[in-house]
Amino acid sequence: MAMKFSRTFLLRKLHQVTGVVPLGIFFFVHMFTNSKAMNGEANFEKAVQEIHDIPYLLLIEIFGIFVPLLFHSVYGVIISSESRMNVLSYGYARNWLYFVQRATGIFLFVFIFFHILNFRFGLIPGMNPTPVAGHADQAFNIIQMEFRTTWVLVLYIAGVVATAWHLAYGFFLFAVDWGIVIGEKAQKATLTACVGLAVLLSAVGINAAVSFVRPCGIFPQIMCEETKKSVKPAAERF
Amino acid sequence: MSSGIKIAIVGGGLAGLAAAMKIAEAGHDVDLISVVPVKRSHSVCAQGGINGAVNTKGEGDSPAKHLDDTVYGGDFLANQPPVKRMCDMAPEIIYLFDRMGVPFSRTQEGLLDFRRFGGTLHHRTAFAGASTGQQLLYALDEQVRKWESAGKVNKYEGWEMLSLVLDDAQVCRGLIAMNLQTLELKAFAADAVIMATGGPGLIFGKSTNSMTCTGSATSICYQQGAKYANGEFIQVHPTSIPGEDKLRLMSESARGEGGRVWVPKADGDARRPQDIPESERWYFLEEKYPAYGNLVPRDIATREIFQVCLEGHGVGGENQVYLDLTHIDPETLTRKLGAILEIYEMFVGDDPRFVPMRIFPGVHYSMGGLWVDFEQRTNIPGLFAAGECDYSIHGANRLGANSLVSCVYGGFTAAPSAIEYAKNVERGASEVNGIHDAELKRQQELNDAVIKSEGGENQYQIHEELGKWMTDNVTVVRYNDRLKATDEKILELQDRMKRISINDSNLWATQAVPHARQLSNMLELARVITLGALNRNESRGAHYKPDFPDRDDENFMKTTIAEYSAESPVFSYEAVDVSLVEPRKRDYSSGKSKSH
Amino acid sequence: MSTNGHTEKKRLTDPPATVKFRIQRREKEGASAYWETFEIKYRRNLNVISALMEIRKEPVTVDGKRTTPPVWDMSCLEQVCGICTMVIDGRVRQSCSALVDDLLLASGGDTISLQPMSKFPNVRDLKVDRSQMFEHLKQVHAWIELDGSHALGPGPHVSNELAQERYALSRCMTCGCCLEACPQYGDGNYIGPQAIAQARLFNMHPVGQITKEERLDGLMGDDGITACGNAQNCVKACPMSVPLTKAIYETNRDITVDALFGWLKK
Repeated sequence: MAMKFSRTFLLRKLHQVTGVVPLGIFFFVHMFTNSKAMNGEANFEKAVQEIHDIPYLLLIEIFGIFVPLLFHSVYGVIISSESRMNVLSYGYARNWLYFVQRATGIFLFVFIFFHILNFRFGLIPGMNPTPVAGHADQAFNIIQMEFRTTWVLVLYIAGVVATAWHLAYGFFLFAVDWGIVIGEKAQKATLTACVGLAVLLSAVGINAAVSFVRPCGIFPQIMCEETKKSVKPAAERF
Repeated sequence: MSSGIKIAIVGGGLAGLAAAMKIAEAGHDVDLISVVPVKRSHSVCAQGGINGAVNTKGEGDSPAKHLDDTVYGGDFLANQPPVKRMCDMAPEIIYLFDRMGVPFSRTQEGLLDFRRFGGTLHHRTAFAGASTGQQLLYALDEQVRKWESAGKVNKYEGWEMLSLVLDDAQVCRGLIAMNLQTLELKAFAADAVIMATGGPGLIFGKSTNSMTCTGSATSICYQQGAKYANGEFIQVHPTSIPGEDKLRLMSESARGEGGRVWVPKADGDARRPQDIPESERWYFLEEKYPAYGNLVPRDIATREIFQVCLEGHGVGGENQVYLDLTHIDPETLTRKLGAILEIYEMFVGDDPRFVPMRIFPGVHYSMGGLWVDFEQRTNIPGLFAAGECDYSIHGANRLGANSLVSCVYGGFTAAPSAIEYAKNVERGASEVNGIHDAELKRQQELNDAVIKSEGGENQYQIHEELGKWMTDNVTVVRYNDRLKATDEKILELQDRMKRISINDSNLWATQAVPHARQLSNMLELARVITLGALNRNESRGAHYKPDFPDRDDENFMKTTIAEYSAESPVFSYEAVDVSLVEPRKRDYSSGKSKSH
Repeated sequence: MSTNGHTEKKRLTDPPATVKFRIQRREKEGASAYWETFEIKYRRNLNVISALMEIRKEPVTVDGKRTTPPVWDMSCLEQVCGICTMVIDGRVRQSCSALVDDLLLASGGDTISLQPMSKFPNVRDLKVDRSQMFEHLKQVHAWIELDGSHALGPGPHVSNELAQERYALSRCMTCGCCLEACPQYGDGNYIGPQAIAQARLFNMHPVGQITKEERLDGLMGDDGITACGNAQNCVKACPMSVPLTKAIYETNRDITVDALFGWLKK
């Protein structure tokens, strides 16, 4: 086939794929792991240790997460910078969604950078100095200490909601950009499903975050059998 | 790989693009000059359809019947041989557009669907939704764009023709055009020039025509020696929507799909139309013309509607009658007439599927135009004409859905004719002898004079007055005294035109200078139309004089020819070639009497 | 569409005696913009074009200053030629179908603002140069390749459903509303919905699809279809109700199937 793909064409397609496949999958795994905090420190730290035990971890981290993330976020910022947003003149719902996708994108660019320095490397001055990587046994505590500062917890909740929305709407965008969903009816159904997914992912993410400062997160503690056994006295001060 | 032949086409509507495609396809070069991007030409406004006797409905239709309907509808003023050629070519033309991808409406078998239109008893009109002209124009626009990509067609969009370049022997060697943005003039040398500039509706002020339809370019040709034929035959469309800026067309397809024209039986009936019971409505067309009913030809429908209103029976005593579609299933209407009904709703505010439309006749089409022979050649060697700007097909009245086919036929005939001419013409020294530069200089001086002129007259005021006089006196009903008065008025306006002041000090992309030049040309053509009408003491087709209510074949089965002179148009008459269909009385009140 | 059998347009019940037109002006391309306000008498069936015609006849601003007449484009006045498009009260649309009554009803004021489209080079005042849209049609080969225009009989059998679907795309009048409203279009980064829909129009045709690859090629360049950001303003702004987003997504599917995964067929 004599089709010619331009650079922009390939970069855009790659941007769409990286958002959904490595980063989308990673976010699901990430939220699943975080949710183990519901069942207390030991459970969470066991999960972190399990991640540490994954073979080829460094390679997976670099090529499965960092590189796609770097590409997706940098190219995403470039895409956003080319936009001539006009929601004030043309305030249609889908135009707002377009705007929000770019707004969350820019926010997440900053937030994820912060998040990685904060927890993966422990390099934010005046905040946690210990990287979670290599210190699975302290993971829960590191996070708990940070989340006791209200603005940090709020920031992380904002981060998780923004990611949930960006990803869920990203699924919709992927579906139309790859011609999987076409007509208006199908678009509406897909969009509804994506909104549902965003709400679900947000709830899970928020709950996991809260779980570091309140056993079992936002749910009644009866739902989390393990909490009584494993929560340390330090957490009870909360 | 050039043949060395270059043909300039003025006008990028259906006729111009049809010619451009044929010439490029034959391997020759085209300069295409158009005041607007060609895709925005007035052809887009044709709504109803395109006629061609394809006979897919098993009604026994044939090109011969199409010919008969056309010359009969045209009240036997058209030379019949070119009409026959058009009717013979019409099915091919429709098929070609089908191949070009025009989304014509289809039958259940996937064939082209045809509808019935005014002035015929056959389903002969192919249609694409309710914007057939738009769709046909786009198809040609696409094909010409392909040739443009291939380097065979050079488009000059946003350029207006100012004059022909004629050599000492009165042979056309090209033209001068003005860039409407910079006002720069440019000489276009060409082996032949094809005029495809459409109609002159703006002479009547408000009409159904686009704002580009000034008739200026054809008037220029006339003033430079081209014969102008049958100028007095101006079709007034029976159903238009009165507006502040123009009259918007309500397509004949509204009648074709079953629309019924009526007024309340009681004058001044103040009830809403939907509250007036059937028995209290006067369906005057159905009553007077039982065979054709609401589908009588345009001139008859126009005159009847005009007359009914003149007698005070119009809706609310005003100049309007109802065109009613509300008895037809709304979904069928949406499917068949969606676009034209949207126009009404958009500009008036009522939904015609539920409320009868209010309509009144509006100036629509010029049957007259540049005189051409059967090969689309004007009397100036090297100058050709096609489409509404030539006079050749429609006689005294045009049938609905014949305009699109005549435009394409004209373009398809003018193209080989111009090529043939260009191949054989003596080029002489026309490219180097300075005639182009001399004409360019003359036009520049005319422009400068317009710019410098300071007499205080307002060009738009003059245009308004011209439009009002022409509409009042030279449209549906014509009286000789009023025609004389109109000509005097035009002379007055021409005089005032010499004293206009351009009200735009910024000449970049100004509308004032082009408009002033157009208006001068329009005034010349207005005289041709008015005096042609004055001289024709009979009633035929669209030309109706109550003082001479009958057709007079003995004295007036002739083509009016106007030739320019500085004082006044000079009129002469030419016999009509009626060799194919014997003239008979035009009578739509009963089934058509057949002569062959 | 009305279901109760009768619709009547809402009208201004208490119209103002005069209407003001605030017009963004520019002497020529590259010159700086300025605003001038004109005032004319209110009439019930006034549209923006007829107001402009009246202003053009005697161009005097509301402050009594004699000025140059505003320049704009107009032709058919029936919203089929697309030429008179401008930004009216902040939104792009055709000025012929913009009724003063409706505009005042929507804004609640007595002033209507007129601006040229912002995505195209400004020629003067409200007039812009949209030739790039026609260039884009060349880029996507928006035509059917004929063997010739001589008589070759009818075209292929086509279902009426397909014909009507194509008709909806074919109504595009190249007015540029979709591009003006599109937050991705501008500076040559993106070919825009108009050209994509026209490519689709021909890709859908039984004969047109023979040269589908050429059209898809034209859409995979640096300014190609992937620059669509799915804001979907185009389909909302389109005065002809062309199903633009559907055309874009169908073309996306063609590209996915034929171009990206075409090698799987080998």
